[in-house]
Amino acid sequence: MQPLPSERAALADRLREAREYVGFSQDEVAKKLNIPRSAISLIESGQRRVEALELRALAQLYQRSVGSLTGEVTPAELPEDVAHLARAAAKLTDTDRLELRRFAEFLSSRNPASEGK
Amino acid sequence: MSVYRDAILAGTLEAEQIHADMNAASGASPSCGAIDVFRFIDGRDILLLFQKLGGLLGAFMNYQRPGILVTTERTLAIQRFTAAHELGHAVLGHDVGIDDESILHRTPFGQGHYNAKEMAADTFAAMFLMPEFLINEIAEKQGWDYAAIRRPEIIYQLSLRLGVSFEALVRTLARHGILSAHESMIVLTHSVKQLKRKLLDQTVVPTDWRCNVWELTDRDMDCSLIAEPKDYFVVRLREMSGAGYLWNFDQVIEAGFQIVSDQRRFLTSDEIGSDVERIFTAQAGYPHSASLIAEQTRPWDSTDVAAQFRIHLEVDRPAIGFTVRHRLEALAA
Repeated sequence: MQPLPSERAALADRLREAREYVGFSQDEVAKKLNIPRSAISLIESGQRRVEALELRALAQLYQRSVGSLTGEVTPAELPEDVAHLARAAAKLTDTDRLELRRFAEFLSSRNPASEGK
Repeated sequence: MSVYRDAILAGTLEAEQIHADMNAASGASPSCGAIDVFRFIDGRDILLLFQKLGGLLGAFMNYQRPGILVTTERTLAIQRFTAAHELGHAVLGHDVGIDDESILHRTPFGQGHYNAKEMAADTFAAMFLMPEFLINEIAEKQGWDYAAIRRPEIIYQLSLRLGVSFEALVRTLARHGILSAHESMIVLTHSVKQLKRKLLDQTVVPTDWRCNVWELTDRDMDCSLIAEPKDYFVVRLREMSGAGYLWNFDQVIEAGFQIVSDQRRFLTSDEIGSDVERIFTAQAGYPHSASLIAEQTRPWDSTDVAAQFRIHLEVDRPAIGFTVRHRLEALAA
């Protein structure tokens, strides 16, 4: 079944965000996957399909699960102790709150390939 | 009361244990530079990530897997201290830590008490980055005696070699009993900016005073130093100009450094043809890792090298995401 255009666009956004979050350039990722840089650019703009193997390699590189990239696994809530401390910290800005949530999401979107390590 | 004593003890013991393990692994080779806290975290299966944070300096969370978050918005010394503090939360088995500016200004060794877990993490950070044995090693290599190590300008140079802030080092020197509490308060009244200005000696006026100003001599020979792109390296070397030898900086420039100032000063002797001190100031400008090498040769014979000055500089500024080392390893895997 063909994915809906909106699903592909959402996947594309998640892939770009996941790459930028951990600091890889499109160039680096392209070399790692052995595909042209333009392919990464097309994938991240929703104009090219992502092969299952590519998705696995990307998940591994970005240290996330495939499910969190495809959107099958929805991000967990901020853990209660983090939320509590975040409320208690005086100097927290909106950026800080957002970054703490992103970090908690990142940690919880563990790549199954690295499980049991 | 004892809960604080226990916290300080726990932080100290954990740092000492890690150093004992590290020294055993490396064959206890004396180092002359900073503890590489980022590399240590990367090697421990704790995810280390840099992001642009607002008022926060860093955080530790253990949520399915342990991770340390550090801001990109502060100096390398503060990023290193924050990472060490969060590492403290991790090794001490804490669930979470969310840390702002206050970690820089409080001291577990002074008056006033605060959260015991924070106190343990602060102690760990100080003892991990500034262990007494490392301070002694650096002081010995530099020829700094007990009197010298109390002078603000020397403490500043020591803080650079340890990769920590001046303030953090002063507090820790008091903890190690190298400075008394009173002395440390007096040292802290000195402005680091004035110390930097004095070293640059009006030859260079930085646009951003958050830069560090290193004073390097042949005592730093073969050291590996961690620095930032905007840092200045004021290198002072004896030049045997009377015998026709001059320091040559071609290799410094080739290695990607800029010479921003170059001077000669006569050493105290009225004899004609006596030695001079050559003082040049270099800046890296961008993150890279390179050896800074200068050679003393005769202009007409570059093969006759009378002396060489050589240090390794790791000029870095963590960008958003994983550390460079982590990224390179993941790409190579």
